[in-house]
Amino acid sequence: MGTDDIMDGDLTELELSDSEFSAASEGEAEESEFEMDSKPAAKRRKIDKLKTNASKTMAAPKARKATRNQGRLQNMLSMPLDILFELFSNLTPGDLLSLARTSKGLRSVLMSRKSVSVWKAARSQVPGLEAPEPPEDMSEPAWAQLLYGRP
Amino acid sequence: MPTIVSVDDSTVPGEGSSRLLLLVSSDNKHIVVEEDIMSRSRFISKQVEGFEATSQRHAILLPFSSFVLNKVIEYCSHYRGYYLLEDDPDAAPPGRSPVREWDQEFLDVDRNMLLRIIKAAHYLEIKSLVGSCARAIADMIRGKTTEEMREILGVENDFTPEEEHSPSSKCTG
Repeated sequence: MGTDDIMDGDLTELELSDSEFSAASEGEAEESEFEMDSKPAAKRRKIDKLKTNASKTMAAPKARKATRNQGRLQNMLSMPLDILFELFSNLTPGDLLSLARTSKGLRSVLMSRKSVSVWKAARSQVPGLEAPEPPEDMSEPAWAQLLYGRP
Repeated sequence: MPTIVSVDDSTVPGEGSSRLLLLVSSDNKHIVVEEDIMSRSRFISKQVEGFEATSQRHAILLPFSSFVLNKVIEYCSHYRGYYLLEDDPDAAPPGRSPVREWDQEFLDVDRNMLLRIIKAAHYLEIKSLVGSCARAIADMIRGKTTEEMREILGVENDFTPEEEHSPSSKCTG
């Protein structure tokens, strides 16, 4: 438990330093030479750090988590709509509702008429009894909220 | 013995005839790759058709780093010669892409890299890879809370407090 706390603190610190270098190369490609060179180095540094801090308790799954959590330069909202729709098609109505609450951008995409098919598809994939179509005066997202929304 | 050449050709089908492409990444790395590896990309195929029409070949400039490009080439090399329904421009548009074990291993990268790969795959019009990436991202956020989703997708919470607490049913659908 105690070692876990140390680990977590360490991760946050790494995240910060990582997003710093991420922000530098965010201007996309022009500076990616930098990215190319610094990426493996950053990784090594991270591994070294993790090793020294938690060499005894270091477990494989934790290591994976560390890689997963690094940097946050890529923003989902900068993605082309096609990609967003591809992602939506893999989610349940409950996930779509949570996603719609993340930001204005994602909400407006999910609430637009273009996304009706996404909600329909998600509803049809819920296991168990197939949910009926929404009543005429209700939108698909509102219907999803009623059926699957968390209170 | 002239037959040796044809034996070579038949053991590696298509390889003898495959021409080379020069790809230039945004960090100005020049990468030479065989044409038939990249034929999975609709974007590259169209470029090649253009080459054939004008009988002039030139380098193809791509708007992402060699780090990402090499990853995409690795994917295309793995599926070289394989038929994947999603990448068939003449096939009916598929629904969700199927789960492929190799892809799951291949895409076990940090989320940033994953988002970069999906962007590149979209640019290159490699539907199977876009589908697999989308599935991998979905796996990361499935069942997560809104706050966790923000974290994973790199999305800022830009709602005012009132907006945030109003249920999404406020929408105009």
